[in-house]
Amino acid sequence: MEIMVKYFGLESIQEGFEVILPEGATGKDLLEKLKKESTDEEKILLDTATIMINEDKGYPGTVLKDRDRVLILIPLGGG
Amino acid sequence: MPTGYAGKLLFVNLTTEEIQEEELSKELAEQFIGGYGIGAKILYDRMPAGADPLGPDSYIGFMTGLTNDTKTLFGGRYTLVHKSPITGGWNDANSGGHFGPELKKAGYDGLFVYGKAKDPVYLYINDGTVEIRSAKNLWGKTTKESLEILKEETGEEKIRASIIGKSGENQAFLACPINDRHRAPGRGGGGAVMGSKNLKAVAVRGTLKTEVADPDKIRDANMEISKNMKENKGNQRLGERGTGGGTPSASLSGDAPVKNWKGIGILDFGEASAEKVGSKNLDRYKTGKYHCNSCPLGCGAEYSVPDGRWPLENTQRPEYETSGAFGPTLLCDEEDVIIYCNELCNIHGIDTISAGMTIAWAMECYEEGLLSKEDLDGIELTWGNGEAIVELLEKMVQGEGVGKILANGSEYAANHFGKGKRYLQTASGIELPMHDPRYAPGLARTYQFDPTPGRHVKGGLGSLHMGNRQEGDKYDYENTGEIDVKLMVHREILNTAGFCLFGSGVTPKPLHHQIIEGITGRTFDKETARDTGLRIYIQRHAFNLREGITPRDMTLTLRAVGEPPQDAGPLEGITVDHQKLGRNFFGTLGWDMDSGKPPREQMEKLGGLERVIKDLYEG
Repeated sequence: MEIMVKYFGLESIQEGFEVILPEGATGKDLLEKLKKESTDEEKILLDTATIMINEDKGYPGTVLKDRDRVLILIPLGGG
Repeated sequence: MPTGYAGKLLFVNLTTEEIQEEELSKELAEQFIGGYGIGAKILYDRMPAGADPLGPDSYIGFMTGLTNDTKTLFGGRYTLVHKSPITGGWNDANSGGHFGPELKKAGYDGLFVYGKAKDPVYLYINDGTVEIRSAKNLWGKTTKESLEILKEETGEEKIRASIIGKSGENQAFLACPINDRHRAPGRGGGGAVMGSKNLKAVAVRGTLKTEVADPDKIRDANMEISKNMKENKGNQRLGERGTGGGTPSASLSGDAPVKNWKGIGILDFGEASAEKVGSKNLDRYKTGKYHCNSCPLGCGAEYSVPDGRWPLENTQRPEYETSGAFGPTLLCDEEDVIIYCNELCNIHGIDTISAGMTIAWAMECYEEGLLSKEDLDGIELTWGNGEAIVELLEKMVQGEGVGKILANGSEYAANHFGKGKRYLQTASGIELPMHDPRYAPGLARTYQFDPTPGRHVKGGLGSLHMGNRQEGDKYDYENTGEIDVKLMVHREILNTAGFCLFGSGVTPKPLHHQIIEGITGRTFDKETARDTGLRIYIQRHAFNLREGITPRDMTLTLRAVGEPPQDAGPLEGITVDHQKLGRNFFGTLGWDMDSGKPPREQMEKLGGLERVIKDLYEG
């Protein structure tokens, strides 16, 4: 299935992109796949990010559906 | 004279026009470091209890940080200290730019002003000479116009000045001075205090040099900081986009408040609007970078808006707090509105956070029918209405019509109109900043119980939660006291030493201590840091106790802690146990929350708090 992913707060990845995952994959599976393709710093940021799936908060156990839109919101951390 | 300091404090009585210098004692420097540490000690000792913050008995201090003018990277901040006309308690607010280091180079670690001038004046300080000069020709001018006039009048192109605009002249509670065109100790009403003294500006020029004990120690620390910066992409992003680069993410994650704290970013503001208010979008107006003194990062930017509704030739990039306060908080995604509101606040000297939040309060009151169009001078104050926001802000900064009421803040306005209290989003009366305790629960303790309430820059567990860098579940309220206190005391050191918090991500704690040792030549180990931070915190806290403000009197409005919780979005179902966070914090300190008194033995052991002990235990 295709998952639409978009990062907020990480300028190295500005545009949305698609990720292919097997049916039944979870939020945790998506994050693991993203981490494999990330720099060390991006991996750390992924661990601190708030994940929104469509318009709901995402959790590691959330089962994803085809064409779900996932927002990865990197914290500002102050300012 | 203590090493690393200018060695002098300056006192100016504007009523009598007496100007006095005092040696900075080694004891005071060691016990309170600088900034609001020394500021709190001086105000506690010399300002009468119960003084009207806008009366002649009140003091206002312009305090340098220890790191100012020492070649320390990220060491450029100064702090304004005074009693707040908004909260009625202790206030400190700090600012970057170049004013602090220039004051130290002019020969002073701090300036205290009290009394009231008969007519508008400014102070001119130049390498140890001090003059009280007429500011009649500056009264009514903007902060930017005033700076240019001051340069011309003094013949010093490199002059630095902390200046009030129309809002400060009007003694609007939300007023602040502006230094370096767009840097501000924004919060708590320092501009009103200056205005109440007829003090238009403090202008400084200095060429003296601060001697430090061990320049090599500072240089070595700087080299390590520079190395860390090269390896830290987050820090580099901050240098490129400024804090406003994070506004879109924060608007959607629940970090930034939306629609006066009742909205849900993803639903009420949306992705497209969130992206519009971020500096990635706003930077199309960028013409250059801006660096504060000794800052290698440069999170500021110069802007020029050539056309549109509010063209601006010489303006600056709104920071996160400003784009949050005039963006998602008001459901406004019009970028020209955010840039123009930032400019209005800067040239007239008013706190962007409280100004935006006060408009948010008025918007909700308008939506709920508590304030009518007539109450708002004919302005249709609907959510996201950019032209209405600008029109109302213009009235606030000028002190016209309903703007005169709103320029004193949302709580003052609610009392004036006798309605709308339930829509206030405040801590002890001051508007909350742009980080939501439902997202970063530790902030609930900081907002409610710090001696300077409602601040995201004060230390504590909230600083970890804002970046999701905590260990374990951030919504677990058990055993939070120890880490909360530990982070609080370290932040007291950073703030009073004049460090910029945006450098702390690349400056590990031991380096902060190494720098302080390099400047002062004295041992500054973990124990010294802990004791010093706690002593400074107690001194600020004691100012409030003397004003009759105990922890039980300190308030936090309930929407911000999820009472009731939101029913959707990233903060769904979250209620923050802010009272437990408070109990844990005070419990770890060993303080009684009812009286607010730190134990006598604790203060005796710390030293430097004899006056506080006398007032609390022998008064």
